[in-house]
Amino acid sequence: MPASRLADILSKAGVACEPSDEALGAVVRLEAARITDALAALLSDGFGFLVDLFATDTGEAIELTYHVRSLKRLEDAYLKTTVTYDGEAPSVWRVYPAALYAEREAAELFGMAFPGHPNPKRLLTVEGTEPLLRKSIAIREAGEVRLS
Amino acid sequence: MAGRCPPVALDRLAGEHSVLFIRSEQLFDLARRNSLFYLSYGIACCAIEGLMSAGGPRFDYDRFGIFHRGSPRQTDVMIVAGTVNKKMAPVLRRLYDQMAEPKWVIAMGACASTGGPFREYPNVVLGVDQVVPVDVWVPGCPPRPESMQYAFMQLQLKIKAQTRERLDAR
Repeated sequence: MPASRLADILSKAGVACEPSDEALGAVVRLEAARITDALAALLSDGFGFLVDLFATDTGEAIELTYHVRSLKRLEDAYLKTTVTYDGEAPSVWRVYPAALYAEREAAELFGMAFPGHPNPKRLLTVEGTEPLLRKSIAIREAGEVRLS
Repeated sequence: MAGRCPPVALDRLAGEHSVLFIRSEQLFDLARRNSLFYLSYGIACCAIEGLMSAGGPRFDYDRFGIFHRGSPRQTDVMIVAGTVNKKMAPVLRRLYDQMAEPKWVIAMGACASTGGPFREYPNVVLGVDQVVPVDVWVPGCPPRPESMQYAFMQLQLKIKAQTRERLDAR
């Protein structure tokens, strides 16, 4: 499926986006505030399955990727949005409840927030842990892990 | 037989229909080292080798009296089979505290021994000896079930040596 068709679906719902066909598949980029509207439009178009929701540290900001799939038509779509390091993206759990765990994980490992999440607790780490998957967080150095 | 400490039936030890004189604590230790029940505490891929494959029909640890239990109250040995991170460490300690004395710990594999391939990651505990006292370390990633058999044999020798020490200290 070309990304332009995704853009058509979103423009009918009144969401501005930037389509591109990448090695990943059909990708549309949009601003974080419109992500819930965009996903609701895709859901009503038949993309009933949220495969994954993940974050990436690009070195300048955090890129969120929402991967949705239509199991009937075997089509995949990727929505991408960029937020700042202390920024926020609205929780999409009312559209896709499967996002609940993935948002908690992204929030604790990248340090950004998902306002509207009903249970924004940590999932994998203890309180006080830094957002471990950010590039600015140092891993243990060789001297620290060498066995004496 | 000496030194290797295989599972011993009392009949083979003392002959059929014989009367065996033994100190009660030696008898207890004999029983303990030949029925080492381990806690099924599989927290990573090591559990597939050291707990599941080991307990299954191919390696069948049951024939050595080594059997898995689901509750820490009923176990003698805790096999830490996997990476322990900082969130898991208090759980590990709590399960260890719930086990009845006497109790032993086997750190299975690279992760439980040193943090393994994940030791650069700040969330990983660098060896479970920081959380619980470890009796036997098993190298490997993951160790083969044979390695775990050897670990249990070493543990049996250790229990035997502890009995000896206690008796000699009198």
